[in-house]
Amino acid sequence: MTDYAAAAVQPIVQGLITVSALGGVLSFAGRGASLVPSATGVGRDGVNAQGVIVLTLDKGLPGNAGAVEPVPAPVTTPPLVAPFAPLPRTLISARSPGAGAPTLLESLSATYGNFTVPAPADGSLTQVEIVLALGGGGLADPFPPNAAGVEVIVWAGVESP
Amino acid sequence: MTDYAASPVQPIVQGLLTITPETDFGPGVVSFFGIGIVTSGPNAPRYVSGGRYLLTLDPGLPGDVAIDPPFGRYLLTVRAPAPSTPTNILSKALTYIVNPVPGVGTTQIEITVAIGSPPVSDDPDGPNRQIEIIIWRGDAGVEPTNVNIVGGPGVIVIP
Repeated sequence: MTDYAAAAVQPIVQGLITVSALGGVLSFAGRGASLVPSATGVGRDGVNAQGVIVLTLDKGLPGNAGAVEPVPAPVTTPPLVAPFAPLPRTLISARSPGAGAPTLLESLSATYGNFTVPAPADGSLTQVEIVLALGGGGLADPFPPNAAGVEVIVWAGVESP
Repeated sequence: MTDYAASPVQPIVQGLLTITPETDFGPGVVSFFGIGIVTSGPNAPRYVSGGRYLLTLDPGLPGDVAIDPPFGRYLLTVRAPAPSTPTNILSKALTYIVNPVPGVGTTQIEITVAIGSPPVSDDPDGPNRQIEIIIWRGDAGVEPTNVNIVGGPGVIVIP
């Protein structure tokens, strides 16, 4: 890493999420995370039929053992003032539904928590939720004509010096 | 770095913006948690208006206290306003503001996020108003040594 770099991008999750149909079966081809069952399907949030994908971090990851911190370490007194989940970073890129066809997924966002699994005793966050929607705001899966999957990268950022 | 990689991603800024929108009682507030942006004093993050935030690169960074616009690369990811709730932000962009001192390059950046079509600058909605930001120095294709690169969008002056 060069001397001017603040922090390296060293992903803990890298993969491609695809779905068999709108509201169909999700699959994750990559490393560092998996899809776990919920009431509305594997990898779903248990509420919505499509447009919300829950990645569960892989506990086998070295160092970052399948969780992100809700607040930065160390725990101090008084508590360090910090925003919620200040460290994880996520990149979401939609694949075009076909050659020359623009994606209809205009709203792509991520959030962190324990959405379909119990919260660990230490309060850490073990899941990354990818929320995808059309320009009008309706939740939608990355399947044609919306998109042909989404590429996802998650890595740990850095704390303030 | 592997031999097939074109250029590594080595961020000079990595962090999380938290936005408190303006109200009838005062302007909005934007704060930064991370590395590479000044967080206090007169150059602290500034809420310009709804959806517009001005950040100053940290002069404490070793080596690269500024960035030449052609080399700038950024990534913005809006966090969902709440679980299973899509963000209303459909447009995200960043401007490299060139320092008026010749040869310095960009020392400030302005982020603009917007809703709707056509886009209208506005803050993210919901209780979770956060944007992840990464800036790194890319490869602009031409980088001979001892070349005086003058800041300006897309301008590289080779004497």
